[in-house]
Amino acid sequence: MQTDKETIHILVAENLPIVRDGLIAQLGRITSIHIHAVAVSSKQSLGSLLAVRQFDFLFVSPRFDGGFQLSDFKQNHPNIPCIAILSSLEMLEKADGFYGYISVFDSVEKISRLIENYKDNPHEEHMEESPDLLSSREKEILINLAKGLSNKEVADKLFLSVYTVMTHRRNICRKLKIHSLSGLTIYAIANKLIEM
Amino acid sequence: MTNDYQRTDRMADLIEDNYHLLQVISRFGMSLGFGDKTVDKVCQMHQVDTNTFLAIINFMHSGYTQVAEDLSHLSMPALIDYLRQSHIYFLDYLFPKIRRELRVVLDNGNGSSNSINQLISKQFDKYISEVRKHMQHEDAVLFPYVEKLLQGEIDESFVLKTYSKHHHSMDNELRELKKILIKYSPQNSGKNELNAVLYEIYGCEDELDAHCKAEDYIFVPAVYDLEERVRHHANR
Repeated sequence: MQTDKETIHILVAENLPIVRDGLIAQLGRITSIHIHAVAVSSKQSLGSLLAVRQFDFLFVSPRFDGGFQLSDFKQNHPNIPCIAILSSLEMLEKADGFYGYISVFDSVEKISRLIENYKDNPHEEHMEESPDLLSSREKEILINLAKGLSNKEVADKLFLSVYTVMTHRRNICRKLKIHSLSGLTIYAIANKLIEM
Repeated sequence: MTNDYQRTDRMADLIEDNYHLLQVISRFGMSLGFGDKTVDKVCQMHQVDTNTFLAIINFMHSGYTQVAEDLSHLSMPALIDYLRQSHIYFLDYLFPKIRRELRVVLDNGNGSSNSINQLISKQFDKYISEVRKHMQHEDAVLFPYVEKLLQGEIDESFVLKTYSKHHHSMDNELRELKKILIKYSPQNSGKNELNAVLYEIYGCEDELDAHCKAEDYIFVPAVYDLEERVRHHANR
């Protein structure tokens, strides 16, 4: 029964309308998995949606909205596998580091296989990354916050935007389930990230 | 995206093109009889923000798959107004209507299937109460939170991200109801009438799904953008 199956939520980030709409239409035709896919065409709406909703996969063009920063994304969303959308074969080399890729020459079966493989073996790529642990960037930010620096000061020191620092800060709070600065400081001391 | 409806399009053409947009139009407080007026003109006449109106109808028109490029241009008051009107539509109009029709169908069936009738009514009420709880919570908590945000105040105890998860429980109750109706409807209840009610329930489900998707993919992300702007402002 299709209705009893869990829904896989897919976010598609692609600027080419034919590729984007075509991919969404193909995803809708997969019968073995119940999929809901939604597409964005700017970095801004990509960021906002990722901030408020859970997605199981991101299908993204490496050229998305001026260039997709895979490493930044992996740091902020280590649990969402990224699949590169390749609209030409020359783009193949750009698929490095992605969980997988699909090209405009692929069949729908390849897409459903990718999704199913991931479900069967989700941690192939992220073996070392437990969701509860902080990334090195997050640790760096936590240490600076615990030392008493403001978001702005941390941003300046690490050459990041204040927005990025705030996003990291929220992720840190979420992962550690600690929501106050004093709590974060205690965590940093207890885990020997900083010394008094 | 050139496939999208534009502010210069004629409102009447839009409806002819996609009648599902009727839902949206009435909830923005607009009534039919547009003549040849453009979308922009009609929006102005009803004091509705045109960008917000277009964002909602274009999202619908894409089959709920394409999210607007820039959510920060949307008018929060217009979105809240729209969502509040939707709540009123479901709670005060559509649910009572379906409930009345369901009762009639069940009552026309033979008295021997009383316990099943009760079960069906009960499941329907359970579903409505689940939806009502959710909508009332939005009216009482989420919208006031956003209204405060518009004045530059952030209530840190509120967590936006957990929000859209609530929508799941409503789906479950409805799925249960449909299953009961399809499998266990009293044999001697009017076939056409019962089918008609079931159709209405499916239609209601689609409309509710559209409503939830507009919340999940337009409203809540736009609130997040607003939050970020307010925080950014406060940290400067």
